[in-house]
Amino acid sequence: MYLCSRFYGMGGSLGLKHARKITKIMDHALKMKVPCIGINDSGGARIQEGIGALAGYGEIFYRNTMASGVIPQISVILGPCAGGAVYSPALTDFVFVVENISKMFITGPNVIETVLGEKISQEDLGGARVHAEITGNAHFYALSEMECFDQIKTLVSLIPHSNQEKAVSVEPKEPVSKKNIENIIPSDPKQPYDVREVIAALTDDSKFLEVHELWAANIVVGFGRLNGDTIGFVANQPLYLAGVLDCDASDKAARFIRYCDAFNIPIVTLEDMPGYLPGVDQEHAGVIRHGAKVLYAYSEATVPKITVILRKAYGGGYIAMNSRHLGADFMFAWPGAEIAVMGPEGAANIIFRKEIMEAEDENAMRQLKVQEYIEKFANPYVAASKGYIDAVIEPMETRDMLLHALQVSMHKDDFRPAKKHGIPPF
Amino acid sequence: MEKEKPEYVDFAVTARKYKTLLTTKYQNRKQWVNPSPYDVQSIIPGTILDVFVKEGEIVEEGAPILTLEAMKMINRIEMPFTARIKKINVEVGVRIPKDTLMIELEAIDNE
Repeated sequence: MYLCSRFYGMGGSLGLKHARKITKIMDHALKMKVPCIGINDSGGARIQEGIGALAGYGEIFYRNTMASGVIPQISVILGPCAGGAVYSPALTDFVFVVENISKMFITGPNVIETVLGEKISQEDLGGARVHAEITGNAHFYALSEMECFDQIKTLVSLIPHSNQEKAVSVEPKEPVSKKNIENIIPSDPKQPYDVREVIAALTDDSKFLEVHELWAANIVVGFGRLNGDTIGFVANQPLYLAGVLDCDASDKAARFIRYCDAFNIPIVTLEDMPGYLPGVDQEHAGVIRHGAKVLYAYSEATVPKITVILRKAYGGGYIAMNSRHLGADFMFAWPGAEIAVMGPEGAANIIFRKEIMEAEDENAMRQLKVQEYIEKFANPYVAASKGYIDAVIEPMETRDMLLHALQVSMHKDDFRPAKKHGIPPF
Repeated sequence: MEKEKPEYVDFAVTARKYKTLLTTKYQNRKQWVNPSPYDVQSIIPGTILDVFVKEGEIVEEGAPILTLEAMKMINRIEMPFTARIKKINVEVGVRIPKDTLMIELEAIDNE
């Protein structure tokens, strides 16, 4: 097993011959179907070379795109990566950054100050933390180079080396998490919990490599193993922003789903989301368009898709988080799941508005109607009776059900209409 | 070792309020302010090159009121509708950021 690595000019800049050295390795990696890891540390284009440097970059970006979805492409930013140079990492699958070392921006602080008068340091403009937490350009964040290299090794051990094979399987292990899975979700539906504890209770050895940990924290994506095989997990995170879906979370999930689909990695979705994030800034930022990306990614994916509804699944979010209607192969729900068009309070206010208004004690009537709504609509049995949920399962049974479902789906081969490619809402 | 209990806040999603944590990006987001049609704001940072109007003057719709040099172009800002110039907040030669209130307008009272 070997990997190709390419180095950008250490502290130096890129010219045509330099680019040719890089593209030679990329062509080689694509031919041999091995992952390509690029270690970036560059000042940008070599101005003296003029258009030749730009041509060099162009050839690299073209190859990044050609290899996308064929071989895993990883970028490690171990220095400044400015101007044209930074587009290559943006085109790759995973970007690793290190605190105080990585810097990524298109226009540097000097130009920004000269042209616009905005004063900002390199670190605040495009440092490691900025990209890991705010822009989402970085998928993995480390405090040291050694930590970064460990992360890379873990990632490479989990993903297949090309799209023509599955990831390497290892010896299955039982989860070792000390918390019982049935004790994680609080009985009060308004209280949060960390969904990563649920994941730890399910995965082999309770190990989970989280991707984009600091960005869009209201959704959790990453790789874990079930029965020794790599599985991609997508889970709403009630600990942050109540687990809503917003522009960033949608982008994060959709990209991860497409990565898993491209590289034959089954997807397990753990759902507990109350809806989409309300707000003018979200609407104007295009939450409609971004939210549609998740719908597109799930529908398009032909890898085994399994969903477990842990708690809430309201409205559009129920559909978006890999529902049966988007092609989920197995749908499970925990007994406390609430699957409805909207939350009980909002729904009761609308459906039973007349009764509530005419009642002597409005609040008491409202509480009664909310309870009635929960019993009648907001439970998993209505969806199960329509066949949209395959089984209502106990939390303790979840791992076994997942293992069984994955074993059954091992040779899944699904049909998609022939086309050059779809048009996702980019 | 007892893990520190995080400070949850009340977070409303439609009719229900959930206990949760906020992300840094969410806390730093810009609040929506309803824009007034009488505010002439800069949509791009740049340098004021010329101001063609004076305070108190009534200007017709479409007339140029100032030029702003931005992104290597001279941008001509025109009067959005006929109104009186209430206040001019910029000077020639000054570099301004985005969303600066450059000129304030007011309606012409019918006498």
